[in-house]
Amino acid sequence: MSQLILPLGSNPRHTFANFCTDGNEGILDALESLPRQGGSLWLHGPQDSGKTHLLQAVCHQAKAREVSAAYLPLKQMRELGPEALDGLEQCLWICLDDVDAVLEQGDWEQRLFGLINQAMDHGASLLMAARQPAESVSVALPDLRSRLRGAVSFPLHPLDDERQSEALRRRAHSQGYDLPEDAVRYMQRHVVRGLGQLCQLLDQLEQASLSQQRRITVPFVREVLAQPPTSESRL
Amino acid sequence: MSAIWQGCLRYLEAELTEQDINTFVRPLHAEESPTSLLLLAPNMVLLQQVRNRFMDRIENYVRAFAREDLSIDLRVGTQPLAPEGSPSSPPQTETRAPDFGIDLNYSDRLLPKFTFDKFVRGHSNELAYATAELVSLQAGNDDYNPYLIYGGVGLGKTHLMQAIGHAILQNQPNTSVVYLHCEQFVQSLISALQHNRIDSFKGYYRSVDVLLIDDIQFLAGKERSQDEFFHTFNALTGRQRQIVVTCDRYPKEIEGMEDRLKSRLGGGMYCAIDPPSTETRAAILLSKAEQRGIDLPNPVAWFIAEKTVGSVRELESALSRVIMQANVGGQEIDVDFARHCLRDIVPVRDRLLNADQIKSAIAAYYDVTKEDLDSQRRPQAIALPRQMAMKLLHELTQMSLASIGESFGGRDHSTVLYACQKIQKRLDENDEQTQADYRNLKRKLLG
Amino acid sequence: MKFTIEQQALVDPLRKLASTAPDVASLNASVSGTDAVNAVASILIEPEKGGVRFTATDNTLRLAFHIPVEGEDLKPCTVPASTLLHICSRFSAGAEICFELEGDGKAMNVSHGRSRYKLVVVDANEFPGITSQDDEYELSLPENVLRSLLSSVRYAMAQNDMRYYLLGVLLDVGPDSVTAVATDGHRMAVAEHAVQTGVNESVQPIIPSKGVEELTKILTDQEQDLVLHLAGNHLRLELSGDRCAFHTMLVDGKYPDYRTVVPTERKLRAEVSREALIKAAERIIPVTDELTQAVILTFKDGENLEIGARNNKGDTGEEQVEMKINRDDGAEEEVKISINIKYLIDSLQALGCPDAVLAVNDGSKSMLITPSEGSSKHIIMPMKA
Repeated sequence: MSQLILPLGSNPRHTFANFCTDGNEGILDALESLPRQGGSLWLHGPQDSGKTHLLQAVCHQAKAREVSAAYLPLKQMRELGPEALDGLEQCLWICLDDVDAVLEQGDWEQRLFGLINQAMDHGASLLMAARQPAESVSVALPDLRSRLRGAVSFPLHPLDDERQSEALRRRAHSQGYDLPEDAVRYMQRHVVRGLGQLCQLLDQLEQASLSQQRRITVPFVREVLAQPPTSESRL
Repeated sequence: MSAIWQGCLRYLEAELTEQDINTFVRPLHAEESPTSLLLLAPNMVLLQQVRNRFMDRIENYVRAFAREDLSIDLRVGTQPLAPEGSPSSPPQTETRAPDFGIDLNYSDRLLPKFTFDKFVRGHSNELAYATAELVSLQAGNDDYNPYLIYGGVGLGKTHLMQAIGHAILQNQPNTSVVYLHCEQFVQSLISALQHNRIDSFKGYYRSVDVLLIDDIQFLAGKERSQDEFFHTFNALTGRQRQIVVTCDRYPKEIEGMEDRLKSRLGGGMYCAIDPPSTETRAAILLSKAEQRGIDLPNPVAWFIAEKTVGSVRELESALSRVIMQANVGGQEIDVDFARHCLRDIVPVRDRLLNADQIKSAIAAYYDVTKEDLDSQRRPQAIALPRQMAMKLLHELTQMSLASIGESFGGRDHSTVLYACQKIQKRLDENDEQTQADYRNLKRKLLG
Repeated sequence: MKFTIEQQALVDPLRKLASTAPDVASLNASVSGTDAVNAVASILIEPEKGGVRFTATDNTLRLAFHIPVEGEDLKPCTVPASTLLHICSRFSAGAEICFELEGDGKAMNVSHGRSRYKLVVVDANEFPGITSQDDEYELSLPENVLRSLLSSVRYAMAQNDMRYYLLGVLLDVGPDSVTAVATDGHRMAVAEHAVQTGVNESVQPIIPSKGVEELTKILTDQEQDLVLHLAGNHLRLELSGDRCAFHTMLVDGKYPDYRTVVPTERKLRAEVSREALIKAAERIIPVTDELTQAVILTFKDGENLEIGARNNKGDTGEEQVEMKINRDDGAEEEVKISINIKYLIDSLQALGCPDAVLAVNDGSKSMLITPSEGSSKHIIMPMKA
């Protein structure tokens, strides 16, 4: 028997406040000054370097400023077809994640090109994220290639252990509790891949902590890691 | 912004993932009037997602926290970008016609392009087409009621069904024709149950003249919906109202469908649509091109028809790509150009046949032998090519990790997984040599 | 300085004060014995108009009572809280207890009849204060309303959660209503009262659990308006007639949006006698699993509500309570739901009316418990096998 828990989750969780920059503080300034500027930004870096976090944070910010925004994870939207991009130019902030996933994908490039042009006409801001710099992705449409390369480029780097730990603790803090240092170290030693997985583990720990009414400590983390992941309960 | 919608957003934020919110919900624009909440989605794709995945939650919220009697209308539309502070102008909406009642507005629009004259006939759909024409002329005739069209995806079932609707409306404009996807039927039933409006639900569906329901197989395993559909069915056919349904297989083969419903569905007229022959496919392409005012040369139509496997929808998208790229580049469409445009599709089909090619290409590229790749030796010079080979086999073929391992001298799947991760890591870390090798090899293999 | 107080007039406030002041034993041993620590564990006695003021604090919470006395030469001093309570509570009712400060101000003589005690006094300047900023908001609501709101939800507060915002009761105060909310993630209690509060924008203070406990002790059923002062992280209020002043720090944090958690539609509603259900539920406790305390409730049309349990030794029990079922849909399938029996009893006890309505959808959705009269809502999440 396991106790189900009330959906007390306070999404969204990706904000500028809980983003750890690694030697590139300029990026936050650039993103926060978006509405006045218009134009387009290209964020690039390997997995776990914070691209998705920043794009989601922009959408979160949009809510506070009452600006229309959309986050478009193109890799996952690929199956919906390129028509999914139609009409989105009406949003003022358009965040395109995994842009490389739809490049050289027939209609997608065409629609993407159209969206970028219309967005520019509307004075909207475009944020694009990909693993590679815009110069090294291969694009079939020459016009699209030049649009992408015209974006202001920002490289992002994955965090080292110490900053990773800081990022986790900030995340915990934004959820209203303090995450003990030794628990973070234990998590880092036992999770193989990157911040993304650590955050997933933290989510899982939070749920388990509510369900079992226990605090997140090293023994608790060890127990949770030993269990197969359970699906999150909802009301 | 609508106050009700703001409250609803807060509610959804607690219920849904951040990504679903930012991707599907945030782009919606809400307009509130004293009697209704109008939600405008940027396009049909996002609208469908919102309707199928989040509409029940939105309705729950509005009913419970805002107003019982508020109708919620989800449409495709755009809100003109008004400068901040200026009064917002009324939204330009693309109305989903026709508007059936307030609470059960689940019907979809008949798409203008799905008419009889735009349907491309061939051997595979001749009978289904002819019957559809008959049905449209003699709607409600017991011999053709229900009319069931079945066959695989993308073969034109929906087209034919909507064409019946169009034709009936053209002859008798006052007929109430309702087209909806089966999933929407189920959704509207659930919603009616939740809001204690089952009577309006029954009243609504039993009052239509022509009911077009797509993909009836979605009823499988949904007993309550089947039951309700069964009664609706009897009520309509009893009053000589026409029912047309489509299904992805013959209804008798649907598991989880009640026998009485199966026998009702097969009790009128039924026709299968088979995958079109290459000839029909080429004809479809020519017709589609003509609709767009493009002069598509015959050999190109044949080339695309032959090289694209899959549904008519895929065929159409292949054509779209060729046309768009021709427009962009201002080029004339010939077979070579089409081959170039579709280079990522065409070899996809060929490469499935031949995993050996990949190994050969890699052996040649790294200047090792294929035997080296398969051998148990592990010098550095061979490790990388071997890992690259595993990665590309994994990416470009349908082989499982285990069978890839097997093909490399009996290695197990974890070795293959490790190899794939290793290469991916190098790619992610911007290792230039690996990236170049990977790009070159893919280009070589995919043509 | 010298004054006398009647035993009962002293002991009642003294109990509340002693539970506010932390026990010296619970404080860190390395600092015990210092004046500062002794001061925290003390009661501050100050002269004020018409009597003296007894104050206790634990640094986050401050409670003060006005006690009308007649005395001479009154000046501030402190006495150890628990010692004073221990002694005075053992005098008989009606006893006149005499307090007299020694001439050098180092000790307080407490005496009655043949009993004499000399208690060491700590410098009143060591007694900690809580500094608060200027008032930001003032809101008013009747004393009995605040009392009933807090007492109907407090059972659901989290006890030991790392999320500090759950360790208290949220007061969601709008211009024309006040809602109290408590949750520990497994269950939630929400009580609302329509009242003109005098605020223009809504405010959401979270009162920490200790503050809630103390408040429910001091609040009475009087209908006079209380004025609550909210300033930054502080909440201050005074009971009418200058009887008592209460001051607490608030929990700093954002409370989850409780409105989204309250279920809106529950297709099956069963009306039961609250008392009968509590009795049955309490009887069955020993045969529930020690760890989960799970019971299975079965709702079936035309039958009694069935409560079934089985403990790890294999004992089983079944209770039946009469119920009246009411459904939206015509369906008749039975609904089974596993819940923690303690949670059920807690919510039923908080209802305070003859009948309760249990509303369910199915075994995976929360159960909503509401009183037959009144507006509080009690939500319990089920357990899953």
